[in-house]
Amino acid sequence: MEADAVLAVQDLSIDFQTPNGTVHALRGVSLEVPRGSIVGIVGESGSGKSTLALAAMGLLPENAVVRGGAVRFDGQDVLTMPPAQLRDLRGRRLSMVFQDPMTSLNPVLSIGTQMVDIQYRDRTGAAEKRRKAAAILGRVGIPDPEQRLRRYPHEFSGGMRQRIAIAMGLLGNPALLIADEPTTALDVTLEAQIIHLLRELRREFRGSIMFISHNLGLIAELCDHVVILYAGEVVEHGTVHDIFHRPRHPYTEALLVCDPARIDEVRRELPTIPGDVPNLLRVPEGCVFAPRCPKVFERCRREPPADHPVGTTQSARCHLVTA
Amino acid sequence: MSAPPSEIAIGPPIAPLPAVSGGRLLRRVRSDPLGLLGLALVALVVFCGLFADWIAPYDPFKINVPAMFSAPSAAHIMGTDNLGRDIFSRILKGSQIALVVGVSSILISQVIGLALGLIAGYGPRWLDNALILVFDAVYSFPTVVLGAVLMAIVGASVHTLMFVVVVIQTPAYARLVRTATLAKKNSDFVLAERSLGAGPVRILVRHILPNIVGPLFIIGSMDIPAVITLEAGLTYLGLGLPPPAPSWGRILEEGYRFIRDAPWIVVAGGIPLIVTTLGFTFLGESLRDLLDPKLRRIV
Repeated sequence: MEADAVLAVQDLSIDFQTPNGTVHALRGVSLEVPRGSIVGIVGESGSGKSTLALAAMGLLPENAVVRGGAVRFDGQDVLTMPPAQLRDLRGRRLSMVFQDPMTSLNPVLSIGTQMVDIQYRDRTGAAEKRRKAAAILGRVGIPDPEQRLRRYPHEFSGGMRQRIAIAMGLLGNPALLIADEPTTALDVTLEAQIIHLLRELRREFRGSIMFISHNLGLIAELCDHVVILYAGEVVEHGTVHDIFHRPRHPYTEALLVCDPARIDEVRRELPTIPGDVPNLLRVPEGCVFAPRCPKVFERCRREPPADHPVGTTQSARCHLVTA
Repeated sequence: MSAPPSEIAIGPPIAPLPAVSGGRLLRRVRSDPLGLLGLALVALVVFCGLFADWIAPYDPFKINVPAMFSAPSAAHIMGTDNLGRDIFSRILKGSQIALVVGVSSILISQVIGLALGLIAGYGPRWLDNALILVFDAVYSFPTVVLGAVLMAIVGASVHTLMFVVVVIQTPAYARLVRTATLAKKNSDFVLAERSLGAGPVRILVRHILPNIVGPLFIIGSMDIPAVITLEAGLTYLGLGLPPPAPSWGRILEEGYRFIRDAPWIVVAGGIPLIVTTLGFTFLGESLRDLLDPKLRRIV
């Protein structure tokens, strides 16, 4: 375990109480975001990506129950921190950019009002706060930022709004920015621009980014480390090079095969992983991926595999890795 | 919003945007003829209420039996009633009652309803359930019965009338605010603000409140004529202000008794009700467009 991690998630398990029963959304999740690096979290819908992000922000919904583990930000556990202390971290040391820029800004307040308001902790005057807001808007590529401060969210396009959301996240110069599928709601051109922007900003602000996506191409382009999440478990993690060139978990291999950007052979149908994500009301007894795994053998259905290290930077939760 | 000049120039300035000023708002109002008409009618009623004592040609309480049932003429432009009182002067004086009862009781119930609704919507579940129970219990009580009981016990006065309106209207506003607060509480932008470090009070006051006051204000402006009509209705039923108060409802009620001989009394009593209702309704419609940033036209 590296000593200098901004965020260290240790053996985190989270349940959701629903009318249909208890959903075991995250089970024994551990990961680290080293200082100054970009960590990508990949997973299908329902794999627990967003739950992980909200847990890191201390913003879990009311029906979430933390079964065990810790989320340490700068060494302090976010999950047991008093609310006032947590609030002090958010926006200043730790912030988040959400998936849909159309709904993540307050529709009735101008951009300037929102950006000045969120600097409420600073002892500077209103004029200074506006200047800072304009400067950071300019930095994320909003032209003519001083004029734009008077504008309302609906007067901006989706890409512009996501830039504004990123600017608001960066106002406090946080040590960690969590980006939960920040480009999913945007078209491809804008997506590339936002990725480019995030890469530049990382260099400039020297913060870390936890980048959540289901788009492997973006992850490969942007991230240093990759964590593969499947049905609430980390099945494999490693550097970008490890994951994309030497995947060890059958799920990671299957994901790479299915990535449309990597297919060069023309076929009638796109490759898919057969079967469905398991229902997390009843977690399978052995390996979570066993029901869909092409390399499944008898032991997989009986015994959940442990995390087996591969070299110094990679590890996979699969019986095959030791075999 | 004050926009201090900034020294840092970031990026080349594009086309200069029109300055936000009072003139811009005025221009927007002027481009909406119906809203302007509403504003004019409301202004007329407010003017009458404020200056009734100066502009009324006669003392509204002065009984002049020889002049009773005079038809509208140059001396009495709306005629006189069964006691020879000048109806025009009584209507002017009545606008004071209408405005005090209508506007101030709506404002009071909005302030209380806003506070209770925000608490119910953003507070803990048990408090929400308890408040909703109270709102529904009060709201289900028939207005006229409540008015009749209170008037009988406490006695009829402007204050009793206002109290009845506040008791009846507050739960309606509180429910409206609660529903809107619940909807906004779970919206993405509130989650986003929380992720940037905003606490519950900041979220409520700076982010949820501005989303709610617009609709509340509009509904309130449309409720004012309903309350004025309610006052007239209660008075007409004999439950409102006792004579000789020149409320519009009382003028109607008295005029109704002589509708065959002196139809102008009922007509004169109805006109201010129509003017006020239309005025506030048009104004409310216009305000809805003005307060919604999405409907704002950039002039």
